[in-house]
Amino acid sequence: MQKNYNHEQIEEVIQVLNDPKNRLLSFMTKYDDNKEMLDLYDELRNFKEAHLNLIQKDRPNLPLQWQKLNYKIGNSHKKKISWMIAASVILLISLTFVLQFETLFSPQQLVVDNSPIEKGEAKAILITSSGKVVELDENKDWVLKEKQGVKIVGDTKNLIHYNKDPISKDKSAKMAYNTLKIPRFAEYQIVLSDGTKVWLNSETELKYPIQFEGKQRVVELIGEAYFDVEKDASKPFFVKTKGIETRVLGTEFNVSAYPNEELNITLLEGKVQLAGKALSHKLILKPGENANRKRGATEMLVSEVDVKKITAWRDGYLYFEKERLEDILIKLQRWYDFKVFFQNPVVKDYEFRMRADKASDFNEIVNRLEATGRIQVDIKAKAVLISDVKR
Amino acid sequence: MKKGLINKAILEELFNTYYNSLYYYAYSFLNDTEISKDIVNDVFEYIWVKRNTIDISYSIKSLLYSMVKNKAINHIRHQEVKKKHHHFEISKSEIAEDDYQEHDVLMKKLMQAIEELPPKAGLVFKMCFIENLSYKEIAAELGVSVNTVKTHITKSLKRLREDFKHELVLFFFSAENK
Repeated sequence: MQKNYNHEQIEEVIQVLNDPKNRLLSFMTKYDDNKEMLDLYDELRNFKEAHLNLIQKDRPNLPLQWQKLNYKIGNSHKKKISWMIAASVILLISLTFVLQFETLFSPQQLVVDNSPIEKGEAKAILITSSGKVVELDENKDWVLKEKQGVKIVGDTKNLIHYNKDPISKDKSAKMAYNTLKIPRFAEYQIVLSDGTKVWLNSETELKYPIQFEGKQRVVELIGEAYFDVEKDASKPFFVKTKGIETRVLGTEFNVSAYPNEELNITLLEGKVQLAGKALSHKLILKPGENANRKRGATEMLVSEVDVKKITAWRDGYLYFEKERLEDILIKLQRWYDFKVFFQNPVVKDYEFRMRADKASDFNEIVNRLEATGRIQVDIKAKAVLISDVKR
Repeated sequence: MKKGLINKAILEELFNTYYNSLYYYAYSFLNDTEISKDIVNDVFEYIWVKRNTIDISYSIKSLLYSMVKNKAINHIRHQEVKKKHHHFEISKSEIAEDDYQEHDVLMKKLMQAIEELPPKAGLVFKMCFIENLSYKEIAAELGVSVNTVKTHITKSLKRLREDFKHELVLFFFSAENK
């Protein structure tokens, strides 16, 4: 990078940026082996790109472009489905109408909130090293200054980064920790200072230093998270949870450690070692293996699993593989705002297999559970009553 | 990044995540809205057509950005070739896949830095880089001398370069660590 700007050079590059059709190619030919000028072009082009982004100049209509793309890549299949959805929506609407019509004229009329069960709105909370509690606003980009010249950058896609200013004079050596709390109905993604990516599921808490000092990288987890750990053989990465420490050397794995639920640690890539007070001996997981500890159990059992199912939540799906209805509903409650009541306790142990898009309506999920013909689901406001069809 | 192959849901997510940024990336090369959209659409069409051979665990982000860049430069090249009947060779560096992992972080920093420019300097910067006005036109519109415009531009660029430099340092630092 050259040290100083020269007016003539700047003007020349700006002209190229403003009229690339006529000038870019001759510029590139002219300065083919002049790195200084090519770098200046790239630098100024970056400024222009950032400015365009900033003011969102001539912003494209995304849904329209998506439609165009779909048209191009051919989409007869999807069209059919959307017609089917439209048809079923109409059917649902008419059903609702009939039902409401009935209530309207029934003698004992109850005041019921008939608004559908929605995916709740929730804000994540960040607790800084000084103990300040910050509600993260998902509607705008934000930056927070931390100790040691660290900046926390967040955006509207629920993603947080940690960046360090290399010339910061704040050399306070003490480890400073942040805690990120994800409430119900929310999800977050965070990139730690070492480049490790962590996807955090609903109702999850992660405590981590804003910079990893010393010989180890240690984070603490309650809830569920997927880790893509940046390789650094000299600094092993540890996830502490429920008396188990997962030791990592650059790998991808999922940890599900909610209070009062079974513990699952699933390895996708690389190698992890489990140890800790809660374990009698160390365990090593191979890719595709899952270590499971049932509620109340003391030992961890290792078995092979389909990792896609375990990590489905991160890809936007709810996935249940022959799980107890009660467990399924606990998980659904992290995503949808409702309370569940069981008319017949026996249904709690019914097992279901289901894969649903997190974007789907709660009704859609209920319909699929009912379609099994085993349970009946009644929804009144935010209360979901489940009864056994056989009784 | 996600593992495995691309399905429709993933394509839609990639589309929603990257479309705008890719569009502005193309725009910064081409200074043309329509061609920029066409190019970004073509790139998404390409990854759909090749969905069975692209593993998105390998940085799809870098692939998308690299393709947009190559297509943008190729577009200009073809135009120029038609016009001047010149023959140009594609240099290797333009085809090689660059690393774009940090690109959005860089953009975010720069956006913030641009926003923090003093009002007058910011205005001159915008007239020059976005509205494509010449120094002369800017001077006339603001009722100042061309030299004042030049000074504003130089000062703004210096300030931005400061941020840019840190970003580069950071980038190399993280690359070494891998």
